Amino acid sequence: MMQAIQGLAVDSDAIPMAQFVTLRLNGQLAGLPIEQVRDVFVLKQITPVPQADPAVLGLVNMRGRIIPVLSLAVLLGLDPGEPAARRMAVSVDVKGEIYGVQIDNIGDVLTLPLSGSEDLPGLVHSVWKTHARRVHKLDHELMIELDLASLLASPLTHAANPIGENR
Amino acid sequence: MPRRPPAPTGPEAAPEAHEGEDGDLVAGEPSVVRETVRVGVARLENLMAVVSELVLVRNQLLEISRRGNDASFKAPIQRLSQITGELQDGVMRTRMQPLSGAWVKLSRVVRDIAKELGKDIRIRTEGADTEIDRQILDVVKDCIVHLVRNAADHGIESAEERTALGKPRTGSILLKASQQAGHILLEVTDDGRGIDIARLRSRAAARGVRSAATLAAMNDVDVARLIFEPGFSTAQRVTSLSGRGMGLDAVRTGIVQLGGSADLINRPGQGLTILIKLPLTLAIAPVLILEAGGQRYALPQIVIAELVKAQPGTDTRIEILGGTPTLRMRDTLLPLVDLVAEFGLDACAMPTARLVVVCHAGASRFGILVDAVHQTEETVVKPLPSKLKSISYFSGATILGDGSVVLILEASTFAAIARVGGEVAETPAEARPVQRGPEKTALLVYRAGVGRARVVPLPAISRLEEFDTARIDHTPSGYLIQYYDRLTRLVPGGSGFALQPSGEPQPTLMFSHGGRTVGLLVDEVIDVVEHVLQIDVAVQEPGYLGSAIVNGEVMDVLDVGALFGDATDGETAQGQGLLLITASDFFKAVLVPLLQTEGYQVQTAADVGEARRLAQAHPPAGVVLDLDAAAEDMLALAAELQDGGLATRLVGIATSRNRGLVERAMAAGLADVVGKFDRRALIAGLKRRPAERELAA
Repeated sequence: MMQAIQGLAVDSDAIPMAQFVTLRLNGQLAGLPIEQVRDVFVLKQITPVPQADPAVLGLVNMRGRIIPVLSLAVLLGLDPGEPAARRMAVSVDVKGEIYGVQIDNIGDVLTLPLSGSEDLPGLVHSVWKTHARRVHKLDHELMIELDLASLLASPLTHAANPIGENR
Repeated sequence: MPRRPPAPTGPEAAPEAHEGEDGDLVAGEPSVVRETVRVGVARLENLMAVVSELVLVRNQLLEISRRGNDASFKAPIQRLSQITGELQDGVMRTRMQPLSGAWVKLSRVVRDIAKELGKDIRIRTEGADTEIDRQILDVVKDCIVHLVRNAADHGIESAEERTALGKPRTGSILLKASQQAGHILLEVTDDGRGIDIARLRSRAAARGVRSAATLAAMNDVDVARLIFEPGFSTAQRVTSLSGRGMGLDAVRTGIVQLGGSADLINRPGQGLTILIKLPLTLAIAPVLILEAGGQRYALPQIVIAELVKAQPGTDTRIEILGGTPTLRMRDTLLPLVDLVAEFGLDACAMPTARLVVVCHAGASRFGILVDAVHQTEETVVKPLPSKLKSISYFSGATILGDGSVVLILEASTFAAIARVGGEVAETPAEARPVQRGPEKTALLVYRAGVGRARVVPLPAISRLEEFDTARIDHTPSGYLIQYYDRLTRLVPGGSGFALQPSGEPQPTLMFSHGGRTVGLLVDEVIDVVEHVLQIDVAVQEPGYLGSAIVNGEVMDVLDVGALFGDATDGETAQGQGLLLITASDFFKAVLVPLLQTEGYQVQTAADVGEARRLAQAHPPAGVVLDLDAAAEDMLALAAELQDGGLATRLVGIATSRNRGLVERAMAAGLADVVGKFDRRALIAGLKRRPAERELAA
């Protein structure tokens, strides 16, 4: 159920290259730097966490480790849409803690030259902008390179406090 | 007190004794192999982590084997399970340290305090070799020091004061540890002044810890437990070990975080005992799996008091009190937290027949409403990911045998949600008499006017109130008060009684009988004790059933019936024999004092045979039969007693009065079948004349 993507050979030509796990969010192509992604896995048996931030889908058992799974769409402030039949997620290591990030449309792994990228233009939606590093120019379209570590390191907006505020 | 702090008796200390000061061994003897090794804590922790994982795998295998039918697997898996259990136990034991490690410095702490405050204090310890997980020991150390400091500082009086009180000059603190099934019990007992409940009540009211009305309705035990609450801390938190007067709430919080609980036994004027219950280890916790709104949750078993099923129309049911569900169980009220509603899982209608997990977290009791209760599991507790730590509902998560993740409920959060503290007249489950022999009764000891202390059986009291004296009218015919929109008579509790000075709360015991309420004005409520009530009617004063010896003191026993004066229909049960047949010690404890206060001379029998013998020896005027068990035998006995002319007034008691049972009981000649806690109906049934029964039947 889990397929490792690590260890793909990187072209060691003179041109600096980078590998990205691609995904589509609301039609926009995005890429995650492969060094940030530990695993890609199918989400099964998520245990929801009541009163948690809406971005938190729940907890899963990943090889005996309990990790939280967050929705990339909700983290970016986008409409999560209808859940796909087969929900996929990537796991990310942020300062020693492992997170799952749920992504519905995971595509191929692309190897791209760094020279084909440039800084993000100012027009892009602000959430994208905060956690995007660069934009890569592909033949047919543009790919936003996301910084998952920065996305996950920022605090969640909503924290439930059962005793404090509601009572 | 020893001159030096006692030598540590930890594992390191013992083997050194084999060797001389200079390490020489006696010539000719084979060299003594050292029987201990030093192991780094990190290595042990590692080992424990591995064993924890093994436990998980074992659980998964058990789950698979439970589902499958392959018999050839079952035996080895059972064996694996057993060996894993033994391994887990063994590794856990190596992580244990004797509690003595936590109290080596206590005698110095006590000596310092004694010197500083000019007190004379001795500390004794029992069970120093009781072992506990070292992680827990680290936390508990500070708690113990604090509790002992608290006892020495606030509990023990000065030597002069003690001498004046007739107590030994030297105050004593006893620190006791013992291992009980699956947990450690720590007791810190002092023989000081105990908690002054009246003062605590007024302080609690002044500080707004509870509303005055809530406080008035709380019994002394619950009021005493308020010292564990944050409102009573006057100064710093646990960090400052030198700070005096810091709150016991910090201690309680520490204990509860460890998955333990704290309680107390207050003996006003005689001392205080703080009871601490701790789990043996933090790494592996037995939990109960619950289900609510289609989701499963785990609840640590250490917080669970009992499981009850609430059903409408029984004596265990859910009632809505001010919009929130409350469990009414055996005449006590317990605040409830509905998991489904709390977690917004499902917008279901107000629950009627549901399961309630009764919990105690710290000093509070409350219920958690769930849809279903599943198996218990030994689980490895894992902390929540940091992004979810702010959700105080959960203390962690764990992986079950089937591989799924469940959240572990944090009991103290639910206790806070349930806003515990308002429950009335609850006898803790542990305190319920279970042993055979003379029935113990909860007695409320009070003082009013001149003369000795008086007692009244606690179950006879409907409420404890503290009235503002300004609200009490003094009329020529007596004291009156507007109580729940009704003018209610207040009776002085003894000759020479005077109302409290204005502004002071007036403690009053409220009694309800036959739809009427009467208050008994008292000077102070001293205590609630569990005692065998043996009434000596030789020295009877009007208004009292007689005297009884309670805790070595002679006290007058209030005749509750007399309070209502003309309320009784002229017929007095004074001295009439009554036979109570029930196998339940609990109901004996509840009913015997109630019947005694009605003036009956009560005999009890545990079964039909014993009842028959007692009835033949002393034909009783009335018989009360518990129909919850062996109903047919009971009814046959009832018919037999009536035929033999041995008894004429028979009443059945039952938890649920189903129609078939009532009809059969009537056919057997019983006057009535009443609910087990419907004391009014029971008394009325006993007083009903047989002729009336014929008409009623």
